[in-house]
Amino acid sequence: MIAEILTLWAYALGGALVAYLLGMRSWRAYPFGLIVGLGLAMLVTLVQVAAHLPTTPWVPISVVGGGSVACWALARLRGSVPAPAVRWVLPAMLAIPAFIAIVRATRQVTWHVDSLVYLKVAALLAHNHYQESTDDYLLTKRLIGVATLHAPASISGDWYLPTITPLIALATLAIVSAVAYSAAAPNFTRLQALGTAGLAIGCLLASSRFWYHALYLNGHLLAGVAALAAAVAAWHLWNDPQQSRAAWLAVIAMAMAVMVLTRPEGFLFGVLVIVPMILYPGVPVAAGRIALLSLGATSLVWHGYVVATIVSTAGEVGMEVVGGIGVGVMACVFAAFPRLWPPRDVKALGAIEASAWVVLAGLAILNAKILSESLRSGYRNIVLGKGGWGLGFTAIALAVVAVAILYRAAGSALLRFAVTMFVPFVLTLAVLRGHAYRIGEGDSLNRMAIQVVPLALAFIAVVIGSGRLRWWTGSRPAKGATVAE
Amino acid sequence: MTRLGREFVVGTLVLLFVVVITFATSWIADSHLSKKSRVGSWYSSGDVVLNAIAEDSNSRSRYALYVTLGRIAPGSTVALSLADDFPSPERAVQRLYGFGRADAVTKVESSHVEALEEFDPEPFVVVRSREGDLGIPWMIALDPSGPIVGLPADPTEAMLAVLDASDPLEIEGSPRRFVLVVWNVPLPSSVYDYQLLLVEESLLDRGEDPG
Repeated sequence: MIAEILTLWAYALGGALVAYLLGMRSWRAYPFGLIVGLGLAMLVTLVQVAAHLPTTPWVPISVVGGGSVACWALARLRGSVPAPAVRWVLPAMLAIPAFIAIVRATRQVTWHVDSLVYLKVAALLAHNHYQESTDDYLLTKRLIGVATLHAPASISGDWYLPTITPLIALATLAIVSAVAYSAAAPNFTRLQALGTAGLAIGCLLASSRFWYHALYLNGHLLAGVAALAAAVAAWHLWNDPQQSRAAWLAVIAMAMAVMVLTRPEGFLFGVLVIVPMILYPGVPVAAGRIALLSLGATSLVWHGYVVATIVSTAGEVGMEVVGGIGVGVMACVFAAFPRLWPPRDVKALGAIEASAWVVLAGLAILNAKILSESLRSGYRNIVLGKGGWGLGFTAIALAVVAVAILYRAAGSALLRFAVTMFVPFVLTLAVLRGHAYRIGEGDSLNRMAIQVVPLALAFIAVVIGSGRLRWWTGSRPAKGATVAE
Repeated sequence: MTRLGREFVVGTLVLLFVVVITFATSWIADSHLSKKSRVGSWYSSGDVVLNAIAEDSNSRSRYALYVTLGRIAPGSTVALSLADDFPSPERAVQRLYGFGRADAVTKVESSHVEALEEFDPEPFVVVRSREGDLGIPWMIALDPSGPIVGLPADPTEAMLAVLDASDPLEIEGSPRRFVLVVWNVPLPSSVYDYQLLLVEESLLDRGEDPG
């Protein structure tokens, strides 16, 4: 338990301190800071792995925890930041051991046989055996993100940290409620805004699959909250480019690193989150650049390490690895040269969404079997809900369509694009990987669905809170109201 | 009703629709899932590795041998013999390091060939398991000079006893040196015609009689 307390202090509070130092001076520093802390920890682990350094988890804990405190002390000496109020810091420090005690006492876990593979990777990292014993499967399918979370458990002889995934779930709820409130507060009464935020997280809390993923040893919810955090940060930067600018940019950068290092398709999912940052008018160019740079550099280093390792064992480098390097190079080039970006036009997002379905139709002609089987399993598992969703996912999808039709909300495309692209994205993945999704609760698409749900709910809440009904005349005090969506 | 009021009402209805439909259906769907995927399943342990091995044939067949090693002799040295087409040796190395908490693992073409020809592990087997969904039956043979205090005498019951123990049932004098080999003697009624044998090297070196 001591290892878990130290780890969560380092990653959650250290990340929050970084966010605070960069200008996020509210309770939002905690949930967004967790993404920052986890991203930093994963990047430190990436350096350890790729540079063939010892992979002891003490290093990321020390760098994130100690580094953030050192930066704060330095900033205080210079007098450049106010001290965080004790009434914020002390309760947070005490809340973490209390939360750990509660989670451990409940003995609630959900798992899949894949979970044990992640824990194996965590143990290999913790005991410095990862580089010598990893293989193609671990490198290309399991990566190091989830293992980085749980490697510190080995310090106290455990396999995993039971509380870190529930903490990620809490951060998910906090981010959804925060953006829902932020969008609604300027337009609704305080009570209405709170009600909208409460209902938005109520949609998550009502779903058994959210609770499943809150207890599940895997990276789906983590990838989902990273996508959510990056998109919400971009929305905030669009909404008010000067407010907490450096902190939002840090959130975007770290969220991209988390996505790339947590899920095999993370670098592609990250692109879906970045595209609207680049194309949507009003988003600071720095947001797109830092997102591209983080995604590109992380992807290049990780996939470069994967290639070097596979080649050294005379293995075969797969398309997913080549794709990771290709996307990494492209992202770095676009980060370096924003002049290469296409002209900013919200209509371009719609064109891309439409063309994704055209591409999918083309793939269907090439490989109808995989696509039809995937559609069948997706329909049964997710639409009909036999994979544990009930009709919850279908209801969320209907709500996305409904608010998109009923409301007009400037800026909401920043949250919408990755949501509406998700279906063609996952179906294209099935074709590219060469095998279909399958019927059953253990199907990967059934579990991947949670990656888009928090973002979808954030989109719905932001549209409701900041949009106007399409058949209504008059304006609403939201920036960019002339932008038609 | 004001304009903003109507927008709030419409939005609230949309969100309420999602909450109600989700709550009314997802928990029913959840109740039809397997225990590992069901929210609120109760386990006697909070340790997902031990739960998985105890409850899931797939997990057990892949990892139980190695987790058991990690519980009884962490920090051991293991020579993995590639003879007789040892299945997935790279995965075995990862599992020995990761779950077995081995300090060093070496892959060798063969190990103790002559000693194994004469060796009967059965008198020394203290833990064993049948095959699972994706795995091979296995057994661990220990040198009786380093017993495990409190272990059930029946090797098939011993695995869960080792895993369930709140404190690891370590071998006295641990860590030890082991050899992991394919043992070409099938477990009765097994679909596999071999087992995995993790045997203490000292047994093979000395050809010890269990007495």
